[in-house]
Amino acid sequence: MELVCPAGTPASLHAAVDAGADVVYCGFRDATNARNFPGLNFSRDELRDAVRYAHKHDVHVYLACNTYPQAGIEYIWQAAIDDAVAIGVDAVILADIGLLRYARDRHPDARLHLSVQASASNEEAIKFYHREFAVRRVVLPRVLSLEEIRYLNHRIPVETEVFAFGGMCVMAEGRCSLSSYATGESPNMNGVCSPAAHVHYEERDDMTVSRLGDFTINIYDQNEKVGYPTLCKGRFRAMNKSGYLFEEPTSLDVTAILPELAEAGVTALKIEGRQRGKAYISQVVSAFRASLDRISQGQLTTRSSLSTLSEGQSDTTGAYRRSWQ
Amino acid sequence: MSESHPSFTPFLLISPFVRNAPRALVQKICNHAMATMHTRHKAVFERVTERETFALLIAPTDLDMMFYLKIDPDQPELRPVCHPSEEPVAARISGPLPALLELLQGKSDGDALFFSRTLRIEGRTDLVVALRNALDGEEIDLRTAVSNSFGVASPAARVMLRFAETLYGQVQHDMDRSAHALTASLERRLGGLDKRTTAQAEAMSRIENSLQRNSRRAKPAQTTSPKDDFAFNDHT
Amino acid sequence: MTKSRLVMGPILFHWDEQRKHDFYAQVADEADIDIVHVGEVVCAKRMPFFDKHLPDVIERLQRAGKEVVLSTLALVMNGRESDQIKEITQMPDLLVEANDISAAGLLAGKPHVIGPYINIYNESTLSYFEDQGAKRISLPWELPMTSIARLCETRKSAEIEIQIFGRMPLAISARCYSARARGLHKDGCRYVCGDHIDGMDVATLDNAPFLAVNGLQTMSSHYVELSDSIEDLQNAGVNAFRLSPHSLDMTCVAQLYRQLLDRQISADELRQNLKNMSLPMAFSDGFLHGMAGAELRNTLGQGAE
Repeated sequence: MELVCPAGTPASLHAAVDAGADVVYCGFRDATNARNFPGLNFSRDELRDAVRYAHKHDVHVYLACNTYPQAGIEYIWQAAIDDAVAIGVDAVILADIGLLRYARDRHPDARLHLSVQASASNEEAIKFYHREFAVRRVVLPRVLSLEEIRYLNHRIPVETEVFAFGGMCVMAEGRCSLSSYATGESPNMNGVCSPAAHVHYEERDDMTVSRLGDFTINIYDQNEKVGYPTLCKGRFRAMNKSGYLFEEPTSLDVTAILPELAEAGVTALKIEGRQRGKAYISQVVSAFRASLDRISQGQLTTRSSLSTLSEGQSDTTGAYRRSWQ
Repeated sequence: MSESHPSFTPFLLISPFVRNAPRALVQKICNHAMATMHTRHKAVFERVTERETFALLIAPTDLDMMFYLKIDPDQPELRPVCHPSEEPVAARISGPLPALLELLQGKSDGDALFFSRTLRIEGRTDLVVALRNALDGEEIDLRTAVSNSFGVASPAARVMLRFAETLYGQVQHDMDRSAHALTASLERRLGGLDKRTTAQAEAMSRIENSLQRNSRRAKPAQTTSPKDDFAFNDHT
Repeated sequence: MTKSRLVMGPILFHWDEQRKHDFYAQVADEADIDIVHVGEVVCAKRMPFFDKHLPDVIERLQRAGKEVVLSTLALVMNGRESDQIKEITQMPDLLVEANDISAAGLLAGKPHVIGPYINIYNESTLSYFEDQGAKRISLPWELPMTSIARLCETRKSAEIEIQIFGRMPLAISARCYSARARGLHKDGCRYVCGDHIDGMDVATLDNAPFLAVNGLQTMSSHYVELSDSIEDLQNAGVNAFRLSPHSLDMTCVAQLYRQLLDRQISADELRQNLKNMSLPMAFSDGFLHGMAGAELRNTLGQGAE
């Protein structure tokens, strides 16, 4: 399986290439990608240098242009595609249908991948994107179980890429307005979820209170391990109970089920975390490189050693195991 | 919050000396560090201040001193701070100095330090994130910077530095062990106490909940301790 | 300007058969509604309960002069659900609303409706679906007025619809949160989502109302209420206005909005009337104004205060 790794800065891209990535994906420094965080991402020049460096090491570069263009300023997203193709990236990752049509018409030779933000979670949806826009690979939503993935791979004419490590979206990606409900900024429109500018920490008695916009999303004590102040990973009250209603602070780690994913016909493994530092990139990419190499030599399982990098310092195999639902 | 819990790092041992060090000397070191950083990594300052210039309070939890850091592309500033509450800062970062230095060099992952509560942030989280991202995009090597700073990048200086680092590592190891021995039994007892408190708070919240319902944008009510009533065992 | 059409969206909650029957009977006989949506959008596990009654319900609504649309699942995850979608989209003489790309693809070439769960944020995407045969397009909840206006300007012929009343669906998941709140897994959910006919209230730890859980779906705690902007929406070119069913008297709600659309009552009067109804509701219209969705720009309906 191909190892697809994140890079939020040129330094991270170098780290990923050096640690054994097969592919590095990144985005431009604007609202055209789903990690539009302050101080992150690539200028045109930086991407050009990055592609040169990666190609020299036989590593591919994908550009994520996976937010939904706003009405009236679609040209910003279209320019991102044009520039990425001109720079020579190996694939463009898209979610918006208008943009897919643009890319197909304007750059018929470009390799198009369907972003997880398009939330193509079934056979018909994937066939649709393949038929209409000649999409060559689909990044599967994190809501599918291993059996569902295996079933799909037997029935669709495109490659599949699945999330292997990092942040867990418990909601279907690209179909979630929780962040904009609390802050006015959403993954689809702004490329951010629960953005830092709307996060506030407050000390109350001996506890830390994290607030997103006007809403308290968690309260924890001094020693508790935490995750990102993401809305769906907060504590709430319902039915006279309180706690992590949607998901505990945890990260995805598929190390334990790598052989099963390979057997299910998955083409590529995606590591989440363009917002993470190069230390994270080096550690996670090397660990997965080593695991994949061991598996290709016939070893059946491997154990992960990455939990210190995870939210809440804990891991899950998420929806891949049906019991998660 | 951080004042009451110093971090057990070797810097704690030199903390009394730092506290009593002449301010002028500390200031001089700060100025030098800032000037070096500014000349070697100007891009960081430019990247972070694309939207605004701002100041941070850096609070090493193993040092009896805090620092004011102004992120300004033309006139950055780093100085020790006597009255932290009076400084107009956008955010405050606290954590043990070794963690802060590793972060500066991109050797450890800021988010992981945050998840483990090693690092704490109050105030404008977005600016701290921006700074972290910009720092991470640079190749910052403190060892070279420090040895260059001693005038000559002499092999002797490098040997001294490496010796200091090794010594530091050993001291840290020893301190971790004694800290663990000191706190383990205490933690066990507190754990039991904590369970009882949680049970009581739970009962309280049930009563509270039946009393008050559906007030839109309720005022921050009494904080009950967080619980995990919905927890499934979906972790490995 | 053509007459604004009022749409009764699909019932999003797991109401029992009797409640659904009563609801559609009332809508057929009494409500001043142009279009009625039927069908299950949230969870395939709920479908067997009411699907058998659908032919009768559809016929009754049609007899009452309503345009009937069959809404489909928002999240289609496995082969069985895919097959169901295929079957529905092949039904002759029935207008179908696509809420997942799978359905949209299968409906291409014949008249259909694009539901608010399909991501349409810009002109190119809107134009694509018009080319595929969409005759009405219900826009996503988080779109601001500027985008809505722009989309209305550039559309060719499709009707553009906005939800103006009811809790807003904000997210959908493979995981069932109604079940999880009871310590159950989805596979053994015991249909506990049916216990909350307007969704299960979710508050912050500070007891501020925040969200509402409806099985796989997470909704806003606040009810979107756009009476304050109805004229702007009409002027921009929005021609269909969706009400999302709740447990309060929806015939009455429909009548209020009908009167508002026809300029017979003011937004103030409408809001005051809603407040006097049996269901306690907090309102919001933040998305429309480019703010946090939970925000409310103007407090209406305060009467003479």
